[in-house]
Amino acid sequence: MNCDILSSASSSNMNAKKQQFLLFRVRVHKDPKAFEEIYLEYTEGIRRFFIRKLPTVQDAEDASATTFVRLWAYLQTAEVESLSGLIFTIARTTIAEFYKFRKQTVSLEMMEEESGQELKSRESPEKILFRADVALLKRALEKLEETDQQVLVWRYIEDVSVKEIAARIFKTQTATSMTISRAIKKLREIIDVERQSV
Amino acid sequence: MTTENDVRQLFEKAKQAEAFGGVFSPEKKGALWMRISKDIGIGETRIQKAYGAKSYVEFFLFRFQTTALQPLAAVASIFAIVFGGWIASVNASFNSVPGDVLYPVKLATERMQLRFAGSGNQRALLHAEFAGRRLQEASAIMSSELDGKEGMVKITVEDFTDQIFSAQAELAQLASDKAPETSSLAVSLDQKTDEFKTLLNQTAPVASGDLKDEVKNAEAVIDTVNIKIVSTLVKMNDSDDSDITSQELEQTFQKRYRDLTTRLMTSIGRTSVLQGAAEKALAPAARKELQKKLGSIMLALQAQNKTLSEAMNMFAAGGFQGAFANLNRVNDTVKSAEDILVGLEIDITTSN
Repeated sequence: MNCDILSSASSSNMNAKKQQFLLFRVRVHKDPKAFEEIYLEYTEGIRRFFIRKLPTVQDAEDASATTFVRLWAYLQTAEVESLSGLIFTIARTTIAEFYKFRKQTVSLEMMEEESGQELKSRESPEKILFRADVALLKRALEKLEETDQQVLVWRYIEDVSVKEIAARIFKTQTATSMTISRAIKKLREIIDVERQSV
Repeated sequence: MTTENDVRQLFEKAKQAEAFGGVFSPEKKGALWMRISKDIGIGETRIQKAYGAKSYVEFFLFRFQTTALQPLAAVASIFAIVFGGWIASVNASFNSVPGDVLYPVKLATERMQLRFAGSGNQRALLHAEFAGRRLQEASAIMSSELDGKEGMVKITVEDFTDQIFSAQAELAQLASDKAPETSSLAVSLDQKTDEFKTLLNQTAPVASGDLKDEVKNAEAVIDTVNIKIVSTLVKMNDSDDSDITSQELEQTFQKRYRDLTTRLMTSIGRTSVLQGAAEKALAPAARKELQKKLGSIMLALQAQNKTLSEAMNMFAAGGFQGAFANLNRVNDTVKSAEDILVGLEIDITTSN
């Protein structure tokens, strides 16, 4: 990226001035290059978000594309205070629409998953343990409330700062820290129960 | 028992897992971008070029416009609304008198003007201007049929007194500081006091009862302040023989001299008329008492001719302080005589 003057040392948390510069370029000049920088900044987080919420990776990538197309259209029309807040708001709307209008289809990935038992049996013990841990975490997370799930993924999978998470969920940093702390406590309790039941 | 550290390790493992998004390779990112850029019709932008200085300047100008100029414009708009309304109220309040709804606006505006005055000279002129307004208000109230107008006139005259003394105090301060504008200010204030006297002379006939006392109080204040102003002018002339003070002193002296001469002659004439009227109108005992009183007045008045002549000689010789002191003595005597003569004229007229 070549936004030298305004660039930030941290790639995960875009410098506010740089962000404002890019938003200005998109709004005033419909600058594709500026929009691509925004895309590169947020695409990974958005994709992860969709992968956890949608049935397949293909669905997640479709939803990601839809989200960025909508974001482009929105940025032409209004000034934006919190870009990350806006992107995840659009993303949540996209998920809601997906489940409202989705057709019952069976994707290639789903077919692979269904037939995966045979493949898994030939995996190494480390790989099997890895899969078991990931499945445990996924099950435990799904038992948490939506916000708790999301803040933990952002904080511990995507390494997003508390400040940035606060902007995404429209809370103060203090309230966000407390939410994360409580969520991780609940998660530990759920994991304990899951392990005992195995 | 699962610890927080155990949970963190689970998350670390999950970073690589497809169920949590897995690794999003640059190729996959590029492919998704191609799709998005095609959908929104902006074409490929994979080759990046740095933004030039022009782009940043344009951005900072835009930011300045939105963060500084827009708030400034908003503030300016608020001022326009508030002070636009204020100015309209001030204009409307200009002719208000005590008791009117807009009169406090007028006073508040005056206070604001005084607060923003940049110098003692400006403050003195403003005080003099406001003193004149109080006199005009007093005159308007006296001519009106307002209930409780005596009280209103009293308050107005008190404010007049405050204003004119404040003007004189500013002048004294400037003189003490030897400020260069002292002479011109003294000249201006001297002219103002003359205007006040003229206004009071026009107001006096419509004043009745207690209001006459208020007019007299105002006259006394004007005289006192005028003496101080002239004294300042004389001192300025002694210390700095400037043309402006010499000319002004001469004009002031001549004007006062003519005024006193006229008033002296008029008072002598009135005394003479009263002496004639007393012969016919009153009973013998009262007549004798009155004639004695009128005789004393006549003598005192005639003696003032000599004092006036001495004042003129002193002035011609450059003894300004002595000359004005003589004029002040004549003024005091003539004023006392005028007051007594008014009372006697009423007594004789009503005794018929």
